Amino acid sequence: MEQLSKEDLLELVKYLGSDADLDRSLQQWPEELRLLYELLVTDDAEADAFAQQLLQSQELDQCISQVMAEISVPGESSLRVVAALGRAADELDGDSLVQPKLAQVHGNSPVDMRRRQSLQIVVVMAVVIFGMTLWPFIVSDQSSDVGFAQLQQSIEPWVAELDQEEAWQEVGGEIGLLVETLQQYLPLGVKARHTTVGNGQLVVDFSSPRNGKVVVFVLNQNASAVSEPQFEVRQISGPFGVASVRVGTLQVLVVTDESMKRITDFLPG
Amino acid sequence: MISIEAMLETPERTGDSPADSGSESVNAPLIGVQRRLIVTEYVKRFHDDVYRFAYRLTGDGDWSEDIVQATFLKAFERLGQLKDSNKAKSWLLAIARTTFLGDLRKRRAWVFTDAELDGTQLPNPDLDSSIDSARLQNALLEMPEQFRIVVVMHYLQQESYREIAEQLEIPMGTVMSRLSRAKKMLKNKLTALAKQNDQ
Repeated sequence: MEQLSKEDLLELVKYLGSDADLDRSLQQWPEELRLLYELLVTDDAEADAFAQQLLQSQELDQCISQVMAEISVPGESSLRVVAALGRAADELDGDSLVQPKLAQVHGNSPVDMRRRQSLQIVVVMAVVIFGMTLWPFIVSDQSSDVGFAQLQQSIEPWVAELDQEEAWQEVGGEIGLLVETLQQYLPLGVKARHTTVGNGQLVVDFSSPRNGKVVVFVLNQNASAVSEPQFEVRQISGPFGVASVRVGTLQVLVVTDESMKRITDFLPG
Repeated sequence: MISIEAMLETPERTGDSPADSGSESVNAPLIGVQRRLIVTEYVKRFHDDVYRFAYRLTGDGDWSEDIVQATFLKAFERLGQLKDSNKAKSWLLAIARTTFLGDLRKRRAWVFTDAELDGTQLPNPDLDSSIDSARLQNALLEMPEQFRIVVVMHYLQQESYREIAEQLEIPMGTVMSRLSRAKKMLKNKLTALAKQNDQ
């Protein structure tokens, strides 16, 4: 605990409103203060010095208080404040009740405007950057039931599942038409078979000694129609080359292990 | 026998509100126009007090005007927080103080040092004759803000220890200590400035 000094005592005594006649006012002090005084002021000389200090300090305080208030106030300042208040009030609907505790009205100060604008710019930039990054995926898979991110994770298990698949079927019927469409646009070869993997995904296998392993996952047969066929090689980490293809209302994913041909060899041109 | 606690209250403390204002709460739903009228009235009554307070803290006329304007605009927005219209002046000064501190934080990092206390000069007995407003302002501006604030609250607003403690939300003992050190600091600086002036 900090020890009280004579100056602290002086401040306390001043607060009490004591005058320099300490002998007289001492009796009116609180007991704690009297004890403190007796501890710090031990003889008559110190008492006189303390009384003198008290007087000087009181005069100085009075002087500082007076000078402290000596500030000329700009005459138009209050008018400017009133005008600013008027503008702030105009932003409120004068006819509506305002519950100040519940609904604070925030002034439309230039600083707030700048903050809002900065925030808007940051948000717009974030959306643009995010949008640009995802644009290829969004555009090409917009009509797909299966997201591209999901495909990235699914290809390896699908192909692994296909390796175990024994229920391959000969192409025919509706699937025959689908295969013909694919063969019309893609140099996949004539040999084809199909199956459905565990998640219901239709898969057509065009694997052959010449092609190596190549399978086509049919993502959507009723996607929004495209007027021109679209081919796009996807960069997918892993052992597979992948291309997404859209033809008419058909959306497929061509996957190869590139043991014999690169993925681009299955695309026209 | 009175206690030290009671002694620390300033008996001649002036009220915030003029005699004609009652102690009615303004914490009622108010139409915007009403709020504007109330705050405009506060501008008429307390503008100069807020300006002087701001000026003693900043030492800069333009900055003080900014603080004054921000204070009354905040008062307009937050009028519902004022529980007792008798305390309007204290409330406005508290807004001005926090506005000043907020401005200060934006302008520079908070500076708090006890280095100022190292001066061993004794107050000059004739100091009061050499004090003027500009010199006092210079001395104030050389003080760390925490000390400057309590000195201005004490000398300009005549606030008691307890009132300062309540407004700054610090213990009364801290106010006593801080004010005592601040006064010492102020007097040392005034003495130094007076000596500089004499040379």
